[in-house]
Amino acid sequence: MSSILKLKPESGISSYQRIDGYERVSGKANYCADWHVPGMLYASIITSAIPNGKVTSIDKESIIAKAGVEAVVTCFDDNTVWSSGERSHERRVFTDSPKFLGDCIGAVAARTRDIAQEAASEAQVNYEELPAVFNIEDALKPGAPKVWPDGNESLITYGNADIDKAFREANQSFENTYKVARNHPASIEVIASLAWWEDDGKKLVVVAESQAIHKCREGLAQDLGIPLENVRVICKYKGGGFGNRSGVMDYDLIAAILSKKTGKPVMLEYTREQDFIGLHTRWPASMKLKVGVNTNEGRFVALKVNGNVGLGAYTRRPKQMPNFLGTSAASYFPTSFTEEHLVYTNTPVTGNVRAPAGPQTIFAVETMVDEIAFSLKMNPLDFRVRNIRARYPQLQEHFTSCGLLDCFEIGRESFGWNKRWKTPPSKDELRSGKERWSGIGVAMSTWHARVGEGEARVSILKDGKVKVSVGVVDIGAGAKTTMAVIASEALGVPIGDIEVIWGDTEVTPVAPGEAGSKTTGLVGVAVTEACRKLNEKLAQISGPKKGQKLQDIMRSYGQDLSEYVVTNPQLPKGKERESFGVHFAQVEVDIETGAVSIKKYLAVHDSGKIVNRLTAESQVKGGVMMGMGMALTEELRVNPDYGSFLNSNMMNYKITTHSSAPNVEVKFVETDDPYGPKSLGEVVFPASSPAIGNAIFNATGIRLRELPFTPDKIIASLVSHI
Amino acid sequence: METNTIKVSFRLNGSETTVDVEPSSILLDTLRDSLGLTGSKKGCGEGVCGACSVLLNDKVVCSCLMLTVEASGQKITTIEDLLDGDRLDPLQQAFIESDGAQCGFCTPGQIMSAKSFLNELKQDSALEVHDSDIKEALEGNLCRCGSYNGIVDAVRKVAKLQQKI
Amino acid sequence: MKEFQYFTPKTLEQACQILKEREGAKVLAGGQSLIPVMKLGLSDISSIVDLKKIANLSYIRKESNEIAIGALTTHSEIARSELLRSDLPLLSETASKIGHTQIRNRGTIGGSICHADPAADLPATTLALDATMVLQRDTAQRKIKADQFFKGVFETALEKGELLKEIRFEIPRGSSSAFLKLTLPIGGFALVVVSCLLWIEGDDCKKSSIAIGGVTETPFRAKKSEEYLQGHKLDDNRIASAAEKSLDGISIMQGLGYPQEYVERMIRVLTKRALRLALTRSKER
Repeated sequence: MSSILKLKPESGISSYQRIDGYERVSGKANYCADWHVPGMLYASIITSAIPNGKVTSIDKESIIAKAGVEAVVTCFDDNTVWSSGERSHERRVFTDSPKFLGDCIGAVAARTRDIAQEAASEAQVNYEELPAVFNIEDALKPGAPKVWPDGNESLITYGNADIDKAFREANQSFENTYKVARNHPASIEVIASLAWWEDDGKKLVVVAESQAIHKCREGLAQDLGIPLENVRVICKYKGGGFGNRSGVMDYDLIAAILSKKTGKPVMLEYTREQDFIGLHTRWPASMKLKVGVNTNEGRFVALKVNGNVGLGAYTRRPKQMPNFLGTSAASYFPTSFTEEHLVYTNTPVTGNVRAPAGPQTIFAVETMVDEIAFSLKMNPLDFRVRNIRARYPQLQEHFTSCGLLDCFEIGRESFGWNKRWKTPPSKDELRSGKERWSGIGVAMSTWHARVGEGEARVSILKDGKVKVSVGVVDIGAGAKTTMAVIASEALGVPIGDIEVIWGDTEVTPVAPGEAGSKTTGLVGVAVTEACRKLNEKLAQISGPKKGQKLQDIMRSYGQDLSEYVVTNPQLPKGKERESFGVHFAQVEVDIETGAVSIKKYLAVHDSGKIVNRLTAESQVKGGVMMGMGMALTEELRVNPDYGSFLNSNMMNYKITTHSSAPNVEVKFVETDDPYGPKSLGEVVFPASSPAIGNAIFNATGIRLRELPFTPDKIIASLVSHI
Repeated sequence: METNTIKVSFRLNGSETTVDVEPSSILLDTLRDSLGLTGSKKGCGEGVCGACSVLLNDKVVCSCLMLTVEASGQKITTIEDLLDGDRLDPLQQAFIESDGAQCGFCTPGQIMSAKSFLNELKQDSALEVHDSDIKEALEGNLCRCGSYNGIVDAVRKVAKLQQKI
Repeated sequence: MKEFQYFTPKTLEQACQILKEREGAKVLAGGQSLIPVMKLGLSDISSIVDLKKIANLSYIRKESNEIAIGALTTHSEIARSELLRSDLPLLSETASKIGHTQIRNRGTIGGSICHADPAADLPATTLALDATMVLQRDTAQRKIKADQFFKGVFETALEKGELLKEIRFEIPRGSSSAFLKLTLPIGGFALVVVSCLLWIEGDDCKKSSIAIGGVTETPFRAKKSEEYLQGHKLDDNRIASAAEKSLDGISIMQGLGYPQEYVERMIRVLTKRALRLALTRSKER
């Protein structure tokens, strides 16, 4: 089947070291908290000590009286609304109605970090406490305390409302419930924001930890009511993002407000615990899936999802996202219907974390598909391929490009799937005394590969050097290098001669931000187009003489050449554009302790053309490492009595570490997509947890439907299984 | 405000350095705020993530779990010491080649831990280096971008080079 | 962090004097447990007595039939010591598994023992080895066995004005040993720690010492398991049955964050595995 695609040999993908590698390995890269401006104050937030209620008073005088404190702002003297903090309910930066323990009610600016933190933590606050509710089940009970006046629950539905009719075509249906824990972005960089005002307090400058400097700028202007041209946002280096900070954040507003009040630069720093509480977490979800199957043909007929989604006290999601659970886009199901119960509780905020809605449903669907394959006695890989073919008889016509089946086949071959796959051990075998059991699993993921507005300015200077100006940040994915590679290859200029201008709204064109896996696709396309136009100009200048060196052309031309372009391609109606990934995991399960280790891992991806193999591979590997965390260790546990997190620290919110990290092999299926490179940063993540879960089943015969697969759950399941 | 500052002298990146600090000052904060050495990062403040790793008498420690006064009379080495003018240390170069740094925030800490591992290896050059040794040595350095494979590649490369000499 | 007064005594006597005279005085060794506690602001510490300027508190010495280790010896030094690897491998194995490199390079044996964290690795091993703590008050010394030293969660037999100077271990000649721990979340603090020694003569187990940590306020010896092994030829079955008895007469702490049934099961599994490993090692000797 590979013949239908134009595949480039893998070795043909170009690979470049990062252009800013020097800064990143030398300690010279300046992250937000590394900035130091003269006269800078430090700030700390005052947080609510109750999970629900009213703040009746805050003793400002005693805070101000502390030596070194320069300003206090509370919910009683500032009512700025953080408009991108929650889209359906108003969220004030400083609230007088805290809805979770740790909600921000004020902030202190002081001469030193210690003074600010101590003053904030010792603030005398009086409350009128209200009853609160901390879990979804309780929040749905009649008469439950209300998180919001309009209630705790809302319902959204989408898909084919006539789904029950569709199920009539099935001769068998399967039902299971899957649960996904609350995860945290947990980047190693902790929240910070630095703000100051210039031009007699007219112009705001914020050094933000932002994934989207231009969106952050828009948000600051809007929420503070100042003209856009009076806001400048800088983010030169960002210590990981993972799906948050794609606009203005509350802490950026707090720093700006305190700086305005004091007339001095203000550096707001969160503690690690505040970071855990203050940043959006992934929506925890419980999903009941019903799948109708025509067992004679071994194919799916319909899917029905009934899900509960935890929103915490506030939630935030991208505007373009219609739902919280999403669907597995290249899903196997000809028709589907989803009912989502969105539930507020008095727990910290939720929002978009890497591939926001993907991992929840992809975990559920990919596990369910595996379960059905097993009960129909089919090889789970063949079963998937068969259903994808049945669902999309015209795969290449349906998508702008699709290498999904190649991902399956290349992975099958390279991983040795056919040789390794066997049915799970019997109960008798498990009782034999053997401690470690090995098994393999597969799962796929898909993610939107959007097209849309991108801007870039590319200039060729008189000396033949090139400047590429783009509004990107480079949170770690290598966006700067990617842009340089695109320009280098398009103009035929060595990458060392290309300077990328980035990370400052003052000197870069607008960009969508590094969220939604859009940078290479949207901004990269603009760079390509700018270079194409420059090449046209160059051809005019050099005339019919071929083979002239760029430097020579430019030298004789004697002035700079510059192109500023805005590209905005649109997909034709009816075409879908997606990136695809198929992940293969081999695990070893210690059936006495429940410990799982990953022995072998292969990720095969179609993200269209790969601009830079080195950084693209890193991104895939990183997605797998994070996916492993989601599968095996990551879970924010909620205190049943207060709704706060029991493990808001790096010790107990455990991400993947060196010794648990497997060697991940990466393969790319380079499809030739007419709209250029496709998305990568998110599609790499969601397939890991089902691939690992399916491998645990293959190793032991126990099916885990609740993430993460911690050893105690595995043992409990094994004990009842054997 | 009444302060009871203490004068502390130590050898920092090869130079005698004296700072006036309060007893409660944490070495990481002194390095970053008072001495302008911001290469060492604060990730957790409790000795879990390793972003603050520095060498104390050539061995890696968490500077977030050390009082500045404890550095008195000791030798402290930070990421800033690895550059020779503008030239990168071979270990840093290897990190770039293997893409052992994505966002780069944990990178200085990873490199200092690796440096400590390689320092000890020098004393025992007959040892064969296994990936599991490298992982074990760097277990206290978390990387959320998941660059673990690239980091181990980089350290292995330099370890092999070092052993050839 | 709250301010405090900082002292660097040059002698143990001076250190004891400061500890005796000052309310809220606390000893600082490697600081790997103390500094996180101070950062949390959970303790009222007004004075810090840093022992690191006192000469000769970091050493590993063989003194006839005993090993003496200075309180300020780091976990790394213990893990790397050739002497300990040959004469007290259980201790070096334990030290090599504490925390991670950075913690081991800075944390000390004395600090860890005096902190008396139930989730720490060393207390169980000192109990298994029947270690002797040498405590100093002014110029006087007293000795106390590990089983009398740990009194509760973060509580020890140390009295006001008293310091842990040295830890002494009788060399367990003719023994083989194993240290195992289970950390949850993987890589976190220990949930269960098992530290054991077997003395095998001919085919029979002459004696054993099994200490379990992490699950009770202070580590305990699995006496029933030890009795079951004593005088018998050890095979997988006897070891498994002995491990089943490891919790006899013991009730584990609540609130460990994992279901009690799972924790208890893990104690038995780890005990079994540690004993098996020690048995295998006895054959390799």
